[in-house]
This record gives sequence, C-alpha cells and structure tokens, in this order.
Amino acid sequence: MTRPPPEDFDEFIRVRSPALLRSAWLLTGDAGRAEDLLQTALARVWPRWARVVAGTSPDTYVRKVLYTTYLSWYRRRWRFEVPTGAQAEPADRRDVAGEAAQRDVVRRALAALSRQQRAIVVLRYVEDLSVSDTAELLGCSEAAVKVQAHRGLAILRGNPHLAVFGQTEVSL
Amino acid sequence: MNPEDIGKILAGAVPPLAAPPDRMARVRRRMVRANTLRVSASALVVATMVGGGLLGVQALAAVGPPGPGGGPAAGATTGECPAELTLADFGVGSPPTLFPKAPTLPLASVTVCRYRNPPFRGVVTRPQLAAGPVHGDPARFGEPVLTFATKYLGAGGPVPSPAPQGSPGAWPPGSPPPSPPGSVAPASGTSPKPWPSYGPTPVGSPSPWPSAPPDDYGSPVPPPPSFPGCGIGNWDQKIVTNLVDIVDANGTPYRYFAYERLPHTCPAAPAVMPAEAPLFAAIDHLLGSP
Repeated sequence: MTRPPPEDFDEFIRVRSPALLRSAWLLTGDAGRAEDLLQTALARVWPRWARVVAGTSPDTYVRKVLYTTYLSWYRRRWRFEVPTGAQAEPADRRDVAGEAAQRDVVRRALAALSRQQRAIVVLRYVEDLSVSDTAELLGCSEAAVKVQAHRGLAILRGNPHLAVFGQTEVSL
Repeated sequence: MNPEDIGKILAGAVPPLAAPPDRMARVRRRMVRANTLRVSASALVVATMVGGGLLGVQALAAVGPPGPGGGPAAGATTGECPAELTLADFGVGSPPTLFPKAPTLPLASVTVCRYRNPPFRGVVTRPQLAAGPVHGDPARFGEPVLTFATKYLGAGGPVPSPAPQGSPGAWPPGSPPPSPPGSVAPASGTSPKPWPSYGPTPVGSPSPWPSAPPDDYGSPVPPPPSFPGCGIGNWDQKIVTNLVDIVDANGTPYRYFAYERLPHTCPAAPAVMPAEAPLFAAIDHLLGSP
C-alpha cells in the first residue's frame, strides 16, 4: 500500500531524530508524547519527502511540521495515541536525583506557558533560531514572536525554582 | 537570568531519550492509518452527501404531483380516501410495471375521492381530501375509465401524442373507443346525462380561468410567468385531483388519478385532455361540479 521510504528519508530520520525528539520533549514534557509527536510529524512528511528534498531545507521543513503539529494538537483535545507499551529504556542511567528534580522544575515551568509561548521559547533559546526564522517557521509575525518570547521569558524568570537552577548553572 | 541561561537550563533538563528500534515501521503505520482515515472520511462525506441527496429527493417526492397521470402506490389500499396525497400515492418512484392498465373485465365497484390542491404559487403542495369516498355506478364509469386508461395513460399523460391516421392505435374523433376483450361496454339504450365538456382552449381566446383570489396571508402574489405561446392563467386556482378506485369482476383493484393541470393558455395542453374528459364528467356527475 505504501512505498518503501526513500533511503535519504531513512537516513534523515536516523540522523535528525534525536534533536527533534529533544525539542518534542520540551514541547510536550513527556517522553511518550514526544515520541508520538515526532512520529506524527514524520508520517506527515513522508508522502511529501520528494518535494521536501527538492526544496530548500528538509530539516527546516520537518521542524516546521513538528511545531505546527504540536500547536494543532493542543488546539484540540488530546485524542492521539498514548504509548502504552514498554517505553524505550533511557540510554543513560546517570539520572541522579538532581537531574530528575531539574527536569521536573523545567517541566512545570514550561507548563505555565501557553503553547505558542512554549514553542517560541524553545525555538528562540534552545534551538537558537532568530526572530525572523521563528516567525517564518510558526507562520506568525516577528512582532508576535518578540512579544510572546518576552512574556514567556518573564514567566520563566518569575519561577523561583527555575531561578535556583539558574543560579546553580551560573555558579557552576 | 538572561535568555541564554534559560536556554541552557531547558536544554539541560531534557532526559536521555532513546529512539525505539522500529521507529521507521511505526511512522509507516501512522502514515497508512492517516491515509485510511482520510479516505474513510472522504468516503463518509461522499456517502453523506449522496444519502442526503436521495433523502432530499424522497422528501421532494412526498410533497405533491409533478403532472397528470395515474399510478398506484405499492400496496395502496383501494376504496379508501387518504386525508392527503403525496407523490408516492401517484406511483412516483414505483416500478413501471405497477402503473395501472386498463381493466379487462367489467367493473364490480367504483369509489371516488376528490382532493384539492392548495394554491400552487411556485410551491408544490399536497392535495387535501375534499369529498369522498363516494361509490359510483360501475356501468357509468366503465367506458370513461377505459378511455382514460387506454387513450390518456396509454398515450403517456398530458402531452398528446397523436397516432397516425389509420394506424391500429388511431381513434378517430366521434368513433366509439376500441373495446378490448372483456372490457366494459356502455349499457345499451341508456342516455347518460349530458356532462360538461372539457375541450381545449382555443388559441387567442381569453383565459377562461377566474382571476386570482386574495392571498390568504395578505402578501402580494407574484404575477404568473409567461412563456412564448403559453401563459399560466391563474396560479391561485385550487386544482382538483380525483382518485378513482375500481375493482373488476375478478376482484382485481385498479387505482387511477385524474387531475387538472395549472390553467394555462397553451392550446395543445389544456387543463383537461379530451381523453380525460369522460372520466372527469363521470366524476362530476357523481360528486357535483368542483
């Protein structure tokens, strides 16, 4: 029914998935949903892969699909798959209590943002995209990116637990 | 905290995420599922539209007659008068084999119901029962029913299809109608009461139809549309529909509908065709003038 994936698509998934999955985790705050989001985005890209490759940047396109999928997901009620099988084992078992606490603080801090603020903060300050690139990727104006980024940062800065980690980071 | 610090905190909080070994297969399954869902949704939309269209046609078919003619509804009970008629009563949508034929045996009973259409005004309405059921004299209805069934329904309804002179189907004016074997023959020596004539309207003559009655709702009534050579005389006239149920000597029921068209000035298609006139006259004789 479906053609086998193009070799370069397979290679793209293998190479780029880890970074995309990290972004997906920051967006969803959950490993299972992050994998779900990534697979959904990749499934949307697959039928268009030939055109995507012929375009400018496949990575930009896939990232755009990932973020727009995330935004459209949360516009609706969650009705997608929730992985119920065994989760992939963490590759690294150095997960000490401090890392777990930081992860929980970050997850809670991000949960205080709107979905658009969350996407903009991740794109601007984790993926290090410019304002114009973020605006183009999300399909909004640069002014909206600036405003939402400012508000998002203000919310994160106002989180006392995150501020503690910030001081720790700086002190390190 | 500056934005760079926040970015570092966020990036540093991401746990190690291992890729499932079969991610490619999972992506493929999602794609297939999405395609199936999309195709199913499209099919559902198409099916809904088609089903809605069919329901609309059925609903439209249940609101009134499209034109003159006769036909029984499947399972129609003869000898009774429904409170109102629908297209289903007229046999619309029934297989052609259900349309009535001429009776081949003498009539045993005749029952007549009269209906009136509310004013048409561009909206098809359901004829409402006005009189009946009234039992008629089978001897009086024998020939009119036969004429109606053979010359009117057999010719395809209101549009006259003149047969060539001398052909087997020809029925010269003034000559007696053909009598199929077993058909009803008029009683000899009887002189039926002179019945009103329903002849065609002459070309150029003033419309014989009365002027429009006042609107029931006080709203302005749009003027009837006119066509080259034809004109609707009166949209507001309450058209009469007659239901004639007969049972022949063998107990076989037949149902006929005899009804007027909207009055117009087309000379080739008067409100009542000549082949219908005897049946209309017999009904008027039984029920009185409408």
